[in-house]
Amino acid sequence: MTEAMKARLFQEKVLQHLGAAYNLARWLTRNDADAQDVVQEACMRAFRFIEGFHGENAKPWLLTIVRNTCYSWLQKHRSHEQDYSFDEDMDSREQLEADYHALQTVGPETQLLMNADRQIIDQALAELPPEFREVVVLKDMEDLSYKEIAEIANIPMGTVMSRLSRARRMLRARLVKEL
Amino acid sequence: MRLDCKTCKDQLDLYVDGELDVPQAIVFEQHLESCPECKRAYEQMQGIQAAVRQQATYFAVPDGLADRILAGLPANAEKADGEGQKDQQPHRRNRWSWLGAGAAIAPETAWKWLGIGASAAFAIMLAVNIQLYRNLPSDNQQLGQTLVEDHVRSMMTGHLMDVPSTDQHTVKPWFNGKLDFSPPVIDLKAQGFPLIGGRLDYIAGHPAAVIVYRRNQHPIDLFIWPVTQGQNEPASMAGKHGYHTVHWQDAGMMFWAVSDLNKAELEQFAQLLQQKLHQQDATPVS
Repeated sequence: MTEAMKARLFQEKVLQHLGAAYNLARWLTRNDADAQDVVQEACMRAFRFIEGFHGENAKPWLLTIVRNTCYSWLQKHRSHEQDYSFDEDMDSREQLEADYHALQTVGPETQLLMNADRQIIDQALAELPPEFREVVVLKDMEDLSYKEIAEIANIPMGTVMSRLSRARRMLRARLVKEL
Repeated sequence: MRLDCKTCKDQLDLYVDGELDVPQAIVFEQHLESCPECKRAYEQMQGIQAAVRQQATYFAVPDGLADRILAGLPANAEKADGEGQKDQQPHRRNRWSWLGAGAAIAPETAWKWLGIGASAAFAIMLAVNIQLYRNLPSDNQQLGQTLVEDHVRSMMTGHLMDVPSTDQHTVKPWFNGKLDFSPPVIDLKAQGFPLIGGRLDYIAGHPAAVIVYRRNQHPIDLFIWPVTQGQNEPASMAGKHGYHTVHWQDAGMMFWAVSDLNKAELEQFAQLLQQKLHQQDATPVS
């Protein structure tokens, strides 16, 4: 493929997803300048590897590259921030059941949750560990399917569900504190 | 089959995210109808999802990012072909130099012409794409949508023209050696549709000439490619988000005019072009 063809393909198939790319990078790096750097680097990679892209919808493909570039970047520049040990199975069975019971019976009116201030939601989302934050962004902001999210984050679909489940309960717990 | 609360708990997120199949979803909903506790749990989870969807910030692409990304790519089209990998500098001067001083159209101006911000432009881009897949358009409708997309994309990236020039005697010969046909380049400045330049484009895999005109603040892309002999009257279509197209066949060429200009004026543009095309045929011009 000539450089010209690659550029054309890039402009036709990939560039339109720049919005999704930037939003994901921004939520993962939590900083505009860094997000821009990451997106530029990701787009360079996307261009270089564009011959490997086959299909109509380049969004999951681009977001995979963006996500991986973000994590490499975070590893390099923000390793000091990872002071929690990310444990996939953090909750015991008892904990999960207690959580569900709380959902069923206590807590704020649903309307109050839904109308929570933008700042509070943004803050709560930013405070989630990145592995949880990214599935919320990919599901609730980009409306991708579990399958697509699984591909982008390189995890099984069951893990997508359990992370989303846990992320939402963590968000709720955070919001409940504020309301 | 009735669901118990334990299964409901396990399926809650799947249901909220539409990942249950229809029979599973129906059984789930039946349980909610008869179990106020699980119903509440569902509403709380759905409330969180809605809160994120509606309130969380979706960060808009900052101005200039798209331009910087494009400028950083190895240049495309005629300069890169046959030259293999080269460093960016010479290409930048050739292909993107018009982005700098003396540019006919700077990307910022392109944004202003669109009259909307970068993120809105992307939203339109996305919406046009979605419509493409939702409807079952006729061939012409599909082509029209593709061309509107191309037009919007050119505006977004600031890549409106490869050859910015108001002189038809500069624009027409520019296509020599780049296309295997010679597109008619007609000036309609006197009629209020001045020529502003041209570019090379690819439509459905084949090369096309795009002659760029202007009506006041509205750019008009005129896509031209050769077809087998045929002639018909201009037919206009409404595209999405206020874009219009007018297309016709004449003198062995397919013409598609695309713009956010209103339908009446775009049709007028097409009529004027056709008239002038026939006048030109009558008197040979070099």
